[in-house]
Amino acid sequence: MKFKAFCSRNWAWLFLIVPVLLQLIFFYFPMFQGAFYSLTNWTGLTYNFDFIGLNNYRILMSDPKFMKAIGFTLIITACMIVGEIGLGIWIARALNSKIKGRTFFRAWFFFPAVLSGLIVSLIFKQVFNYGLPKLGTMLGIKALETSLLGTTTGAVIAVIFVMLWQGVAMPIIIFLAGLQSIPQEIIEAAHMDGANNKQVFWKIELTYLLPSISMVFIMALKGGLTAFDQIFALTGGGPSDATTSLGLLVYNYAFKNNQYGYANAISLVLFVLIGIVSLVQIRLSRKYEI
Amino acid sequence: MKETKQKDNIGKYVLLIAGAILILIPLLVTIFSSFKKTKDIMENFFGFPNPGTWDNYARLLSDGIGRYFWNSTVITVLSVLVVMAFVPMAAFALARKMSRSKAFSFMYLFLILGIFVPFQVIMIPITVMMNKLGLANMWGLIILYLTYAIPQTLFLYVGFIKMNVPVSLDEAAELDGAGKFTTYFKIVFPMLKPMHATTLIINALWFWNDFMLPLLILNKDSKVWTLPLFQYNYTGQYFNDYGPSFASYVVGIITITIVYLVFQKNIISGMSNGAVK
Repeated sequence: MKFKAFCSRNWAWLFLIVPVLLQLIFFYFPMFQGAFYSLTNWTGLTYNFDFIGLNNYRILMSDPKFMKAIGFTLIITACMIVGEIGLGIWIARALNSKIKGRTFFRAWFFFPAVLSGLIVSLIFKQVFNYGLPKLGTMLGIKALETSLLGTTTGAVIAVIFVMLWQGVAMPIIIFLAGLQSIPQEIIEAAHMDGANNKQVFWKIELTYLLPSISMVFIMALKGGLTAFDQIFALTGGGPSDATTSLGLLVYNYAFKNNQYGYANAISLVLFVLIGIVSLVQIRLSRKYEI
Repeated sequence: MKETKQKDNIGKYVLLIAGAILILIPLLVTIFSSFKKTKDIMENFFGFPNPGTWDNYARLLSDGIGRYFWNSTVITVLSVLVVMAFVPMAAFALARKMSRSKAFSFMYLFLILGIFVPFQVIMIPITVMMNKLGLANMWGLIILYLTYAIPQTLFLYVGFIKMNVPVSLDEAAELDGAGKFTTYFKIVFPMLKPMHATTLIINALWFWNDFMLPLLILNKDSKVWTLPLFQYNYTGQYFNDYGPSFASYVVGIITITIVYLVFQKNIISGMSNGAVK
C-alpha cells in the first residue's frame, strides 16, 4: 500500500528516471570527461597522463593539419549552405508547378535522403575511380581522364558533389512545404496587378520561404561542420589531408595517432562553433516562427 | 503570356529530368555492377552486364551477409522499441509538469541539451567507457541509440502532447478512478500515434544507416558487425574485386527501397517534421 502511494505521488519522476539516468551516464559524464581530457596529454593506450593545462589548445593554433581542416570544413559548409538553399529552392519550385509526373518526381528526388551516406559514398568512390575517367577519355576532357579523387582540388569537388547529391533531398521537401503554404490568392492578385514572375518570386515567395531558409541554413551548417561518414568512405581525408574535415581530424588524432587528449581539444573547438550556431538558431526561430 | 509559360515548363522538365537522371545513374551502375565480373566492371563501367552473373551474390551469401543483415535488423528493431517504451512516457510527465514546476522545466532542458552537442565531443570518452564497461557489443549499442535518440524524440513528443492531448482528458480519467499509469498507457499512449509514426521513421532510418557508432563500438569483432560496417570493411577487403561489394550495396539499397515504397508518405512527412528541430 505504501509503495502504491509512493508511486502515485511521484509518478512523474518515475516516468523520467530512465532517460535521466541514461543521459547522465552516457552523455553528460563522457562530455565532462572529454573536456577534462582536453587539458591532458592522455594517449588512450595507458591510464597515465599529465595535466597540461591549455597546452593542447596552444599547440592547436600552430598545427597546420588543424588549420587545413578548419579551412576545408568551412569551404564544404559554405558550399552546403549555398547549394542546399539554391538548388533546393530551384528544384522545389519546379516540383511545385503543374507538371506531369509530379508525384513521381517528388518521391524520386527525396529518395537519396533515406539512403545511408556510407553506401552513397562507397558507390561514388567507384564512379570517380573507374567510371568518370572512362567518360573523360571518351569525350576527350583532360581533367576527367584521371580519377578526381587523386588530385586535391578534384577530391574537394568530389566530396562537395556527393554531399550535395544526398544533402539536397531534404531541403527540397522542406521548401516544397513552404511553397505550398503560400495562399494562391496572393500570387494571383500580384499577377493581376501586373507583377511578373521574377517579382512574384523575389517579393512574395521568398518572404514566405524565410522560415524554411533559416531551417535549411542551420541544417546545412551543422551537417557541414560535423561531416564524417561520407568523407571517411569517399576519400579517407586524402589526398595529403586536403579533404580532412574537423570531424575526421578528431577521429584520426584519437584512433590513428593515439592522441586522445589533443583530439578532445579539437572536438571542443567544434563544440564551441556549433554552440554559437545553435544560439543563432534559437534567436532566428524565435524571430520567424512566433 | 502563354508562350513564356510553355517555355517555363520546358525549362522545368529539363531541370527535373536531368536531376532525376543524376540520381539514377549511380544507383543503376551499382545494380549493373553487382551482376558483372570484375573485368567487366573495369572495362565496361556504365554498360549492361555482359555476360551477367550471380556469382557476386553467391559469394556475398557465403561470406555471411545474412548474419550482418540480421544484426542490423535486431539492433534497429530493439532500439526503436526501447525508444518508444521510455521516451513518450517521459515526455508525458514533462508536458504535464514543466509549466508549473521549475524542477521539471530544468529536467526538460537537461534532456534536450544533447541536440546542440556535436557527437565528436563525446566520441572518444564514450568509446573508452563502453570498452571498460564490457558494453562494446550489441547491447551497448542499443543503450547508446536510446540515449542519443532521447533529446530530439523527447522534444517532438513534448510539443505534440502539449498541442494535442488536453489536460482535461487526464482529469476525466482520474474522476473515473484511473491513476496516472493507467491514464498514460490506456489513453495517452494511443493518442500519440501520429508522433509514434514520425519518431519511428526518423530513428529507424538513423539506426539502420548509422556507421559511426558501430565503427567505434563493434569494429573489433566481425561477428557483431552491422550491415554498413560490413559493407565498409568488405569494400576494403576485396579492394581489387568490386563485384561482391557492389552486390552488398544493392542489398542495403533494396531493403531501404522496399520500406520507402511501402511507407513513402509517412517517411516524407515524418522526416520533414523531424527536421523542424
